[in-house]
Amino acid sequence: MKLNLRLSTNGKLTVLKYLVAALLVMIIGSIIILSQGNSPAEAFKALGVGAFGSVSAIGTTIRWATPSIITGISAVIAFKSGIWNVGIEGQMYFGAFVSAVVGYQLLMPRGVHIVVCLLVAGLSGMIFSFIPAILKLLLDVNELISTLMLNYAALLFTEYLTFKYMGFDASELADAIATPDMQPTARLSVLLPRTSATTAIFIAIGIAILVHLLYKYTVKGYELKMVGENLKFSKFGGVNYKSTFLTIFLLSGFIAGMCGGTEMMGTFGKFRPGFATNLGWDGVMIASIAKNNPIAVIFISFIWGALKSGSFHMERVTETNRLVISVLQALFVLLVAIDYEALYKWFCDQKQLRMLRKQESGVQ
Amino acid sequence: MEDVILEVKGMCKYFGSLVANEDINMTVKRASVHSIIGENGAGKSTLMNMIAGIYKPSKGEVFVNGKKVVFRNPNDAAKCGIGMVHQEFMLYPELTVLENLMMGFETTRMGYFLDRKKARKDIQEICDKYKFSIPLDEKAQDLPVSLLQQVEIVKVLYKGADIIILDEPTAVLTPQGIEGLFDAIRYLTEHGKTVILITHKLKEVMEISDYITVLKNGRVTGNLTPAEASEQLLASLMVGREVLFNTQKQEKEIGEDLLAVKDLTVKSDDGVVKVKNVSFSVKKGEIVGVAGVAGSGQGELIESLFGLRRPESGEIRYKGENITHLSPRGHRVDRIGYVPQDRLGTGCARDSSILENCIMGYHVAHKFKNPLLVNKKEAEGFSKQVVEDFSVKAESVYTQIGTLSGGNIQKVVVGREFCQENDLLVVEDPTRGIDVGAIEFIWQKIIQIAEAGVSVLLVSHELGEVMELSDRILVMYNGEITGNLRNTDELDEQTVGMYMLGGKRDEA
Amino acid sequence: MLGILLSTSTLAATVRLSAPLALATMGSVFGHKAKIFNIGLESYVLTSAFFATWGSYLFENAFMGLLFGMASGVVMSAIFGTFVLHFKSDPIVVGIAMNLSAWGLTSLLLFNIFHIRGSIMDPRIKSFGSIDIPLLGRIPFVGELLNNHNILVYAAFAVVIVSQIVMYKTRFGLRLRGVGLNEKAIQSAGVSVTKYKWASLIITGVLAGAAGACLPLSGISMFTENMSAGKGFLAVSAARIGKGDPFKAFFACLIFAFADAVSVGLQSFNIPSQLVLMTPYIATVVVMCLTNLDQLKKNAV
Repeated sequence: MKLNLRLSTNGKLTVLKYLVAALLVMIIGSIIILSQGNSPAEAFKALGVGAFGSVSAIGTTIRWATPSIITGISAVIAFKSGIWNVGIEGQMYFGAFVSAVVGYQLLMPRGVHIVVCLLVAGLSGMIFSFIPAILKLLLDVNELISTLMLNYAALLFTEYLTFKYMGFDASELADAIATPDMQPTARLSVLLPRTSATTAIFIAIGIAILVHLLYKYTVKGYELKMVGENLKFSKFGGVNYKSTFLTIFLLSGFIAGMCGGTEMMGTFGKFRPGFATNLGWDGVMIASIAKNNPIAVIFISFIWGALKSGSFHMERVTETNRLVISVLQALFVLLVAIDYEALYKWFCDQKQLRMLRKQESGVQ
Repeated sequence: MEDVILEVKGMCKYFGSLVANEDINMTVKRASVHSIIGENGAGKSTLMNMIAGIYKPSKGEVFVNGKKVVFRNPNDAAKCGIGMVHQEFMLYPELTVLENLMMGFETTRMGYFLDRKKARKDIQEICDKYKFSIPLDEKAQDLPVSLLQQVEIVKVLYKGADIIILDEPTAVLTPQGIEGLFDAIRYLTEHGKTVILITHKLKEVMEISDYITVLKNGRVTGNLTPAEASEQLLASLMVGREVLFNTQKQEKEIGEDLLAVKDLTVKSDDGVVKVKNVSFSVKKGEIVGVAGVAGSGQGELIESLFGLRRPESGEIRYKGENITHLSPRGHRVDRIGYVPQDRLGTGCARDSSILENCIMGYHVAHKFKNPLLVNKKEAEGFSKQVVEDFSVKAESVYTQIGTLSGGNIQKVVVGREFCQENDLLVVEDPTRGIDVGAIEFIWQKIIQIAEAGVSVLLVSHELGEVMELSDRILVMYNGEITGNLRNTDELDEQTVGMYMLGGKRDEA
Repeated sequence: MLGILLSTSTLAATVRLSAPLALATMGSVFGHKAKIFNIGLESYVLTSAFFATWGSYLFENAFMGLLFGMASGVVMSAIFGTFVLHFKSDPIVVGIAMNLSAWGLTSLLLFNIFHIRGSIMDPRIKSFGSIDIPLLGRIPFVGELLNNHNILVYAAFAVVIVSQIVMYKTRFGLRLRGVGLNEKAIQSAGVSVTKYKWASLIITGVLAGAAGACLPLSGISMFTENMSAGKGFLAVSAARIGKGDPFKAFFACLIFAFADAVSVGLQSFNIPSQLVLMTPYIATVVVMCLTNLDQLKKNAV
């Protein structure tokens, strides 16, 4: 595949904007780390070592890049078409739970088992995303709020299902609440020995490339994109927007569900309630930074994975709380969301206003 | 009586490299009607927006009652007694008329609480004095346009304006509504108010004005009185060349019924019946114009014709098939094209390329070689055809459409539909807000395509456009078709106006 | 079972639980009328819950906690306003980013200040005590329902009424509604849209801040990670359901609070806690559906 690396002035400005944002985030991060009484230099060094310093560090980076890519793509599908599906996390829980159960209950040859687990995971996520989709289509219920609410519901409901599956008196210990281990036939192989990186990364990259091709070459992809650009325009242009909306929701949910599946088949091996710890939100952030470009999602996800992997190491080595990193990630999203053109205009307006006031006081 | 209330000296306004106004000088006499005329884009509105404090002049001075003034915002202008009624009404549909009038100019108790009683009394006094009658407790969204315009004028008076600027006030009115407005304007000037009227309609200018200022390309080309002027003189000052806008139409044969609508009834979103029992037909190769005051149900009619809105009852037949419940996609496949009124909101996707904008609809109607994949060659070819046929000024078909000028965007929007080998085109206000050259171009294209055998349903709020292009005119009034008129030389605007107001109707 | 659902204790709990929701909802109502879609409200509530805890801890005084909470709410609004109104960022992206940073930040601060993970409970954190209104207490049923709540509950009711008055009876309210309905028009009337949007944001900040303070300072005197648990989101949906009308939005709040109270009541039955805890979230979605039922016909095409 050929990547267009030639940048227009516009593109250069974008790169500059990201660099400035990254720099700002580093500065703010340093201040936070300093205020905790730690050395920013050491902390960042530990971050780097934790992300790339050893085979196991790289493994961990890849391990965390994997779900970031998949949830990122799930978010891209929705956001590119102007749909705020922030229920990725909830859809993930359903996908994960079902694939964990299928992975334990059914006995199948290895290849088949993996495919089946992945498919049922996707389907479960899809079915769960059908709820906000149908509510939006029939009742105009704002999908942002409904998916937010359903996230909370999904977390609780899968916890309930786990109990139900295991028997309610199985265990009182919070840590022990989980489905049984999946069959080895349903597990993905380890990518780098003695690390948590699995072949799930190939699934993730594959999904991203497929989605990229979908947008680039297919009529359906064109329609999905145009619905996001201007819904009214697409409607009269003959795009059946209802089926397109449904496609978007279901596809986004399917991919989110698959992410749950790969998490189970890859690293976790069994379903534990609440395992996802904001993975869905990572996808939302990544899609927003990548400006809904599937290929950019891959790159940013690797940075995300590196930060996550590095932050664990940083916390161990320098006692710097790793939450610093999650705060900085959100901050980065905030900074690249700035419309610098508008900012510049506002600045000029202010300047003009001051001049006008001066002028006026001169007249009076 | 002959004293000067407003004077403008050396006024300039630049938007980047665009010159909107250059060295404008004019004086307005107290208690007169002063018309500012010029073509679309001549800089009339820009000038008035500067006088009303909305834009800041790049250069130049304004004097009110002989005193130099600088406006930071419309409130400053209001304090000097200048009020403007915009072409696009500045109203709040969900609020009552009283609240609309109070907004920004509230009478209060203790500085915070609204004093509705006092405001009502004051407004009633103004209404009585200048003979306006407006229902204060109705929501603005429930009133007809002519009443809304009165609300706007009362609002300006309530704010204490002595100089009232009316920006294209007649555009939304019927001929009869215009008469009413002119009566009100005369009444206002008799009571000492000064009215500045912006318009591009010569007849109106000659009828109502005491003084006329003509603008062309942002410059003043004439300051005169109606006695000195004639329509020909004004026209030549406005455009600087012979106005030759009569399109050449050839006699042509009109074929059989292509579209037949029978007893169609359509409701708007809030359940109001907007189209009542409408029946008409469009024949092959025919241009059928739909005239009517804005909001008479044209929008709902078109939406239901194109499958964007489900009709309550009735039937739409096209090529003999019942297409009443077909989706827009189905209409595309059936070779029906649609040029929407709102070109930026509905007609294109601003951030996408010309190519992506061109193949919308095409991708359904024509299908690419492999219907699942966008064939790059074919898409490029079609887009280039649109760009060339409609002489769109653009670097390439990959240029973002939002960077083009209004006229060029409109050419793409029209061209896309015209180049798709459609059999029926529903065209809505195809020339709104674009320059003269582009208007002429698009009018020619409409006539050409009809000569080639394509049927056109032309819905326009410019009566002149409908009368110029149509073979037959349908007049809508209050959701009904009150007139089905053959467009012959004998048909004049006044007659159509009577139909538009419901004062006259055909018996079916 | 129905008896328990509608018992006075459930209803009294509804009243108590409606306070933070009502405060946050009134905050959101002002934003809604000014046409600001502020999904970041959740972060306001969470952050101010933390700062209220901290303020109360530092001064061993609940009012100082409230003050801290409101101040932090205003700061959150300042951030949101700067990004959305001046930097022209997408309000949804800003809201989401703020929510995510608030989740991290409060846990981080909890660790940095109290050197603790999870939750903080300390005798120095003082809550608002319940107030016994002598006459009210003697009225049967109503007394049980409305008496012996803390001051924030009564304040919340007052805020709802004041909001209604401000919205419909004052110049500020009229202009604010004007800003939401037609920006261009109100600008031409010489009213600064930015100023009014900022004003609505400050109100949102103060009220959502107070809402956050309700969470740790209404008796339990503790802060736990992610304590807001979607209360900000609930408030945003309540404001939407009420279409920005304070009374209508408050009614939606009462429904959510009732669902919350019922979930407390249901725990005494043999119903798994997870299902019970889902009630308020499901209730929100259901209420949103019910209030949009009129759309069904239109969309059935």
